[in-house]
Amino acid sequence: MADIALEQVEDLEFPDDIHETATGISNPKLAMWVYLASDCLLFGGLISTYLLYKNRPGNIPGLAGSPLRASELFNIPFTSMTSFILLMSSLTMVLAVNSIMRGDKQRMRLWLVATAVLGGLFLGGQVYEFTEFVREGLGYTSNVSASAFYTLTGFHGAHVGVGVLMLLSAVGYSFRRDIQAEAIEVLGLYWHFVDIVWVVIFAIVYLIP
Amino acid sequence: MTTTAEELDNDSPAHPGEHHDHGPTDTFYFKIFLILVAITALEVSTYFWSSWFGKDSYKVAVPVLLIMMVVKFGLIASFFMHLRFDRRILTRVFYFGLGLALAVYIVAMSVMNIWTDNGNTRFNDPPPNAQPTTTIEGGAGG
Amino acid sequence: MALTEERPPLELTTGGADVQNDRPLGVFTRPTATHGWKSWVTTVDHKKIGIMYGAASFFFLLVGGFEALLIRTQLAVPGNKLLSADLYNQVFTMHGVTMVFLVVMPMAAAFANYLLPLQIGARDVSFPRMNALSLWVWLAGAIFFNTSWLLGGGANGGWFNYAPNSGVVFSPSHGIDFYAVGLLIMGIASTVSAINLTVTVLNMRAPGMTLMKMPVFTWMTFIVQILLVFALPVITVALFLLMFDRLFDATFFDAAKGGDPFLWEHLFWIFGHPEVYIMVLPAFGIVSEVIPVFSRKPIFGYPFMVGSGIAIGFMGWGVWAHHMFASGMGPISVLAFSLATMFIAVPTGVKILNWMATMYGGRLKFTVAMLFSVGLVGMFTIGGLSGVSHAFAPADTQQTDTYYIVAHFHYVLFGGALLGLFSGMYFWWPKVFGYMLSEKAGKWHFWLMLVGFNLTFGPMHILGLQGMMRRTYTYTQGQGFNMWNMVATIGAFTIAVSILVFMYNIASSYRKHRRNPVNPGPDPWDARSLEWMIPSPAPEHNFDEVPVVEEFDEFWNRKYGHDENGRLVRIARTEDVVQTGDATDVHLPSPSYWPLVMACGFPLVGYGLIFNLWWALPGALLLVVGIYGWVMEPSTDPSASHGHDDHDPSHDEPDAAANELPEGAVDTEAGTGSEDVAASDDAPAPEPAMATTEETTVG
Repeated sequence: MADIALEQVEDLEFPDDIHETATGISNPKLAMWVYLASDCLLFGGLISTYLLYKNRPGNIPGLAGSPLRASELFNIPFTSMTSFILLMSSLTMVLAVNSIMRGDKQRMRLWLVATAVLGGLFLGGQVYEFTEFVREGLGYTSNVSASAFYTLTGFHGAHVGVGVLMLLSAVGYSFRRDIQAEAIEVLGLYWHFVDIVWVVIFAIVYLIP
Repeated sequence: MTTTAEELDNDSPAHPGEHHDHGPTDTFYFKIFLILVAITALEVSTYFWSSWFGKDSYKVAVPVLLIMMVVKFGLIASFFMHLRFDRRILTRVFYFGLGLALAVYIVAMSVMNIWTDNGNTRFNDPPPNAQPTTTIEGGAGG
Repeated sequence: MALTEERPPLELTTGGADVQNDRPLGVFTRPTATHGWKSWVTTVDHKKIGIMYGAASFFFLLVGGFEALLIRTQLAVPGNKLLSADLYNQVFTMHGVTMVFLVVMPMAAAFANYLLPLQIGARDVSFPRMNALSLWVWLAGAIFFNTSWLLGGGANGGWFNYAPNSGVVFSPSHGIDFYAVGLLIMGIASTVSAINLTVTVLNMRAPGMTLMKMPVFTWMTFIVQILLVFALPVITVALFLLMFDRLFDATFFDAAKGGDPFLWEHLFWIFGHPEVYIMVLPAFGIVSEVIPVFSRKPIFGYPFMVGSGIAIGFMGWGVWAHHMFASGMGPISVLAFSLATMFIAVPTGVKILNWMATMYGGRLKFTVAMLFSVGLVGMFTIGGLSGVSHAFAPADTQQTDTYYIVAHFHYVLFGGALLGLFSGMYFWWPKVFGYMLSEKAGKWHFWLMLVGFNLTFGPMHILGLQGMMRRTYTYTQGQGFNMWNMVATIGAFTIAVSILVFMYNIASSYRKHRRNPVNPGPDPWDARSLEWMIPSPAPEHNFDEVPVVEEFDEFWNRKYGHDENGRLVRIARTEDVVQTGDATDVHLPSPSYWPLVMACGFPLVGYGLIFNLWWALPGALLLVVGIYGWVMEPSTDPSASHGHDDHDPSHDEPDAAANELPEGAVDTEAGTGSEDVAASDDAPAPEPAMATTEETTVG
């Protein structure tokens, strides 16, 4: 029943190694999962807002705004392509994690850059898609369905953007310091979540009539 | 420190613990990726079902899309995000958040009558009642 | 090695392990202060952070209280002209937002921050710098929110801020912009803190402390963090939509343009109902600590206390639309939420009964802390009963928007949350500050507060049922509201006097302590949980030796056992059980100024969004630079000495920056041990880990 003497408990003081936390999971990894769980509620709210407003264009008498709906302007083949790109970026992400777990920093950087590039391509595709919509008459404030659509996809795009920044930062960091495999794994969790959210958005917003 | 980890399930099926070298291989991940691509292709194909199979095909397409979405979600979460091989608490934390979001927002949207169409384009009000709930003429209440 | 050299003042000492790869990033050297104001603004010590939350939230209690006195003075007599209608709207809105987000929540955070690591036997939270970030970002948001008074008027739509009143058409001043942005900023702070504390409870418990051996306060705080983590994103969505409506001409809540004001109500109350449990559960936790100590009995039905807390947290998600019974949502929805609301009274009732059962048969000692806790039990019961009456939707249709509702929520929030928080202050004051508050003055505080509180809010039940509407700046002669309003105003000023008594208590007790310092010792109350096992004030490193926990109420069970007849017997002297606080070789996370840097960025972004987007640029810059600076710095500065360094230097490892943010990591193996020995030999830097207990915290 003796309390643990100080010298024996050094490792316990700030256990972020998996063998020292009470759950066996490191602090950053657990924190990331808690954050991702909370992000479900953020995107749930935005998706719900879109679902509630998606059929409210302006040509219905009494409602102001453009009569266009976002759903009428979708270019499914194009968006399928960007979705595929994001999916592929998830693959490159796990390959990056696997690389650093094997100790292969060079490969890891390669896959991380690939992930960032694919993420950037996805964002580029979004920007192109949105500028097309605006050209066709659907701006942010054209009607409430447009606002809801752009807000939802905008938040997702912002998450992707932050992810790309983190990926590139991790690559940069890896040149100066030794990077822990777990940090990349945690970064990967964020990236896959962003992909998962897109899986949901793509199905619910774009494909479901 | 296993005394405090005991009450948390750590009998994850394939690979308990984290820093092991024989996690899913690159090939394994690639196979999952191919499955995801195939499902996505199927999803995208539903876009064309109304021209291939007729107007009512959406009645099949919508459930199919939802199911495929769930399958993709599960595959990415379980394998790419490693949930299948990690301690169960992570799965519980994440799916609790997801479940809570689904429950809360489906209820909220239902209260806003998203599933019904009463022709009111402004608001998703409940359908108008058929008769008034109280009558003024008539005998004493009771 | 480079780290042991005297560095020129402007060179960065982030102390990265790979010294040869190190490149300076920040302008200033890493803070090392352990005394003075610098040690406070750069601290990552959960105890100092808790004290600052407490001090700031008490200040805002005075602000919100002043706003309340304005309301009550305006309503003392009919037709009063003290506040115009618009000003009145601002005052009651700011009063509500202040009390919820700037008083009750941060005061609970004060207790959570100080006590949680102590109660689970940890040395700090899982992410100490994130902890500091939460404090400073919250404070920045709180100040930002209050600058609205000077920049066009406070928010004036009520704390719930319904649409379409919240849009630019009906609220053209910037007040509601400050509401939206201010709450977003404070929401970020709370979310970060909630994730931090959740991981702390799950991961940092001492050996042997299973979840079902944690103190009830820890459990309630844990549940609150989970509620925060999931509820805050919902209001985040609502606030962003509102902000886009107001700033970018979106029409999410504008009915004429296709929006639906009802959506705001849903999003707000999906957050808002868990929010009220977030506010009251910490007080429930405090009471669950105080009552057993002053009944000299263990809490009755510990598993039920934990289970009912979980039940309240969980069921709280299913009742939000009881705030919307009069919104026209249709009978089925009303029925469903009415039923759910009735059910949620059950776990709360379990708690009340368990507290009473704890007291029954105990050797009761009515210290001030105990008085406040018993006060909570009584006052919350009253508030809960009126709450049950609201659950019946037909009755609520009569009560809603009247003073009956105002009475209800003040009974549960003031009579519940605030009385519990005061109980905690009296209880833990010696632990935090090293001296006791006067019991005599405390009793004056309690009784004045209890009488004043009941005088203020008791009559509001009557006023409400007589039809006095809330959120209305005046009433007329002849409505019959005169007398009770006057009574309520007298009560409000009585409360104000009681707060003055409390402040006097602090000042005079502190002066008395300075004149004649008598340390109350680690365990002045003969208490039950781990925080009482260490000296008062708590030493910076918390525990000399991490305790191994064998049962619930671990500390109590080390002092007391049971004889053959089951009677309580002392098995060890307190002096033999408590720790001395003398350990000097403890590694603690180093102070950092990056959280403060980041916190300064948020209000600038806020001003930019509201007034001129150019302001947002320096704000964003501060945020980005803050993040990168933070990532580049390890959580423990390896060049910091840690006292008499006479043990094997290979133990010394700077903790990985992977502690803090996922994407940065510092190699912990790259031969840092020798650097630390050398550093401590010649570095004159003051020791971050202090053995002396009297100086590091100042009352």
